Amino acid sequence: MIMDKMAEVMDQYFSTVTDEQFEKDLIEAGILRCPDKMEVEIVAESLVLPNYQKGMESVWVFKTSLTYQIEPCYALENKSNYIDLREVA
Amino acid sequence: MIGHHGTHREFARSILASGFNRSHGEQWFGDGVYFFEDDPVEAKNWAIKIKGFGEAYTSVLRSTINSVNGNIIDLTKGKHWEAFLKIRKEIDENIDKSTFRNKIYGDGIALNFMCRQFFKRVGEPIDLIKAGLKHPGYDWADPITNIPRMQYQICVRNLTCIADIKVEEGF
Repeated sequence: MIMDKMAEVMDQYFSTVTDEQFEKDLIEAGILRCPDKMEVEIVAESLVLPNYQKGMESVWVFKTSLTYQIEPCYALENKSNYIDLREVA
Repeated sequence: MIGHHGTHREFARSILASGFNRSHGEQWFGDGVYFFEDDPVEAKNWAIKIKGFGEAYTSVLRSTINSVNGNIIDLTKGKHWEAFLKIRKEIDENIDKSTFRNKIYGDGIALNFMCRQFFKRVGEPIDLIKAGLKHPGYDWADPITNIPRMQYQICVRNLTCIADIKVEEGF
């Protein structure tokens, strides 16, 4: 039965995986974010991102498997370092 | 099994010409192509009400879905659901402490994780995931009946399972 096999796979996984590998797998799956510092252009001021001003800012972004996110609530196109707050606000 | 997929008629044309593409991201059952199991009405409703395509611009595609290797996760079955819950809990417990937990983490991402580990260790893909969901907007306190309106969805992860795509009409 497939879920027996799946449970066996996951039991085996959790009993053998190293912390380092587990973290890598979680980031690959988008469960954990991998923090990274990135230079981005903030093109509009916004109440929802009060700590950043217009212009170039060096901010912490969180890379998931599909998107970059800037705390608290931003997602932007993958591989882009340009954030247009007018589009996401 | 038969699956119905509601979409914009332009997308339907493209699918008929070149096949389906998998949706990626934080979909409810993970990456894949989504169908309603033998239910053109739900597929059409979804395209109109959830996706917002006008009725005149909506098409429903009918496909035959055959599991290639028998690897089906069927969350409408108690045993599958219980196993899923156990694994999901185990993942959750392992990441609860992390400050880098993704806010959008949910069932879809957890299922992607499981399927990926399964493929790495067994060498076979999970063909599809089936699950039941409450119909959007269904009122559990419906005064007339206790029988909920459900919809059964199939997330096809292995696109070679999809065959015989055609436009469904006259339902």
